[in-house]
Amino acid sequence: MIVLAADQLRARRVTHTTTALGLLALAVMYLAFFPSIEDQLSSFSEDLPDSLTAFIGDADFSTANGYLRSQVYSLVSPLLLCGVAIAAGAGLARTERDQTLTTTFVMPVRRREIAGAWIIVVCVLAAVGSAAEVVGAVVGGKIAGTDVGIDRVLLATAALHELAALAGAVAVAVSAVTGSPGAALGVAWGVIGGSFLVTSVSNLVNGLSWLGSLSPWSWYGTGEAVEGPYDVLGLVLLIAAWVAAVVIAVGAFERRDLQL
Amino acid sequence: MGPTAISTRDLTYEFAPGVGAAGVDLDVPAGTVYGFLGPNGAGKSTTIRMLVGLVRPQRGTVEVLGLDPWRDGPAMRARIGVLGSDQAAPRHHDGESLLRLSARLRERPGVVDRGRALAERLRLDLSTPGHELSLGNRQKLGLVAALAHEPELVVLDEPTNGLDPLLQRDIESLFRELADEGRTILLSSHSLPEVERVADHIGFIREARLVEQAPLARLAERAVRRGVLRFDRGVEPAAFGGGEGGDAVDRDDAGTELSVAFHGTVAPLLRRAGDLGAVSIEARGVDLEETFFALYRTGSA
Repeated sequence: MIVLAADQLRARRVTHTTTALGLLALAVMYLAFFPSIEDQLSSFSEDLPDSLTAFIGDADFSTANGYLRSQVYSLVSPLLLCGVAIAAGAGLARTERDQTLTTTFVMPVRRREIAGAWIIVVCVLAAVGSAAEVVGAVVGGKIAGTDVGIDRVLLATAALHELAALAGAVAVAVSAVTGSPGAALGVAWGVIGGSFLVTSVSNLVNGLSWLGSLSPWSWYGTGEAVEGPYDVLGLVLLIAAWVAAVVIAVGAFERRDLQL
Repeated sequence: MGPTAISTRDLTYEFAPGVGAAGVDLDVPAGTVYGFLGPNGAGKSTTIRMLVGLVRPQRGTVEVLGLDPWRDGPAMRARIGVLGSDQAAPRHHDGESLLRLSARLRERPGVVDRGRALAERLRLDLSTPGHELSLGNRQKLGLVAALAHEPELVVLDEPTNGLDPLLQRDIESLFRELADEGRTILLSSHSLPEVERVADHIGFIREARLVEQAPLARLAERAVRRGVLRFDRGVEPAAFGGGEGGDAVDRDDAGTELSVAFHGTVAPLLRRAGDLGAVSIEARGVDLEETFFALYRTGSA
């Protein structure tokens, strides 16, 4: 399994090194703007409608810490990282569709090792992207003047990593069930995009908070660990959902007739 | 029959009635080249997909080297080599890195050196990335990867697709060498001449069913032969029809030259030719192609 995962990671090393550097640069660049736009942000955030604030996880971006949370953990970076993981997770179905999976399948490997290798690929790529976010948050945070400790950054990033790993695992699971890269991309993006919308809307509408509590995006907490206490239950739920996706992925790939 | 490398009973995976494989009883003797013949869409690839564990049979049993491909997949694939019909080379691999991956997964370091030797024999450049390989070179790389770990059984689905005739002959002699070493080769093809040149046994599948399976020599005994008879006067073809002196007759315009297809011994044909005063007779060799066309017609009747 490790050999197969290493083989796929080797194939993607240039793309994902570049993506990680991009995520790091994006975080540093956003945070570096803060000292020069701090005053405008104060008045801007006061005028911002609640509905829009809800979309950035209710972060107060007139403060350095809130700005860090809103720029690194609220929208763009999590979506980019989830995108990286989902694209990687759909790779299992892509290799089946383009028949390159045959090359691996005819070797003495178990089906569960093939599916497991793609789970490892997703986790490693999410970890590399998350590491870039940590560096970006720490370096950019210094420039922006935050007083967020490294422990807080690591906790918020751990939740970010789990969200991306879950998104990728959903893509692997759909790949394993259907063998269709389109379905894998569509369903995984549907889960992540849909849960983002559900979380945002449930923050605004009384009576829908129960719906928000079912959303992986709510479990992620949009970087709330940066500013205050983090609900560890959210991290546990993300991990539990990831385990469920892994079980489905491996179980389905063990049983399905492959289209090779 | 000696030990079998592949044995299936009532092996079935049907997409629709007559499409896929239905009730296939395949017996591939160990140490032989088994030509698995049939027209496109007859069920060869579906059968092979069950043999290598890609799909689970809907019905029936399959044993490959004594193992169940679905339950014992990795153990079985450690001992066999496979070339799929549409197998593609991964973009990020050239031949060298593919052989190294195979060596690591099989835990057999010698794979790389044997692969290099095979590549040299097949005139394949192992440094070309997979996505830049032509169809023929992709087939060569697939063959190298399927053979480099010295498998006991090689399953090849249309292995000479895209290869030039010269190379086809080289590969056919490679197959014979492998069989001489005691390895078994299941060679799926729709080309009878290719199979005829290398196979010891032949199985013929048509519309999902195995309609014939026998050693090539036995098939040759039952094969259609042809005799060309010349007369100094016109003779009606009906004189040779009906199976007594021949099965099918073609004649020239004057009716003085008849080409008579027949099974079994030549004696009845000679008797009838003598009775009718034939002036010359020329016997033609075994025509397997005609045999298979006959099988085909019998099957569709």
